[in-house]
Amino acid sequence: MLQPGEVLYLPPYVFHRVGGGEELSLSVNVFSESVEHLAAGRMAAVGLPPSVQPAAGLAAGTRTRLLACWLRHVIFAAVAPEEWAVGGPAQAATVAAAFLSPQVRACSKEPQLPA
Amino acid sequence: MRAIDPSETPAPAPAPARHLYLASRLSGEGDDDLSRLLADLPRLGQLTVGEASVEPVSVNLWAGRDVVAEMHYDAHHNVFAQCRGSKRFVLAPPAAALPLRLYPEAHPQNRHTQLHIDASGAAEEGETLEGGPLAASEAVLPVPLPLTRT
Repeated sequence: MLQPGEVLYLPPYVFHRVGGGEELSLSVNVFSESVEHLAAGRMAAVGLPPSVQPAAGLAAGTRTRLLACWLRHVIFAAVAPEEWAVGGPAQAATVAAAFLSPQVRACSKEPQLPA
Repeated sequence: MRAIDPSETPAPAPAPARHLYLASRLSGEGDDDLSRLLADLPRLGQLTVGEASVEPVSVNLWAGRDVVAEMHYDAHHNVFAQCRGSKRFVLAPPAAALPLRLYPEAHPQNRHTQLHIDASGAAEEGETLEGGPLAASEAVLPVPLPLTRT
């Protein structure tokens, strides 16, 4: 229960349900930019991979590798955007190593798509 | 004045006039009334999170009786100061996103749960909330005003 004169800090992405009482409630809040919000924007900007539907004529292994590479891009956008831009995948992978599963880490280059 | 987020303004229920609710962005441009309100809150800048040079994304005024903002998240830092009356917060960590069954991203109610969470953090009968009721707000220590920047 937040009373007059009290201030609550809510970190980004923390869920909250806010309920007021019968008494008139007046409050003021300030939203500030967060690194989490900026990272989410970069992740959302990563293009979707080519169709991975079986109808696209891709082998199951190729589809898996496509998805893994796409996931690498999303993770790099979130945690290592500068390294990704400057040093390429190798440098970004070092920074993002903690976030990569073995399967995604093993996907070092984009699979060749059939023409 | 305009609502800052239609999804957080309660539906216009057939309620008496005392159920008016105002959610207004104070930091908007070109509204003299709001600028004057801001002048009454000279220390509002202290509620901004980040370096001293950081400008807030928005400054908002919330006024009303008996109003609920359903369970949701914001992507920004949120420093919320209670001036009059009281508000009960039910909080849940970001990891509760899946159990809370959010609306899809493209939905007008995105960032909000599709469940009906009550003031105790429990879901409505017939709905399942994995992990049981959510943490109550008492787990968070409020910071007493006035804030001092160190």
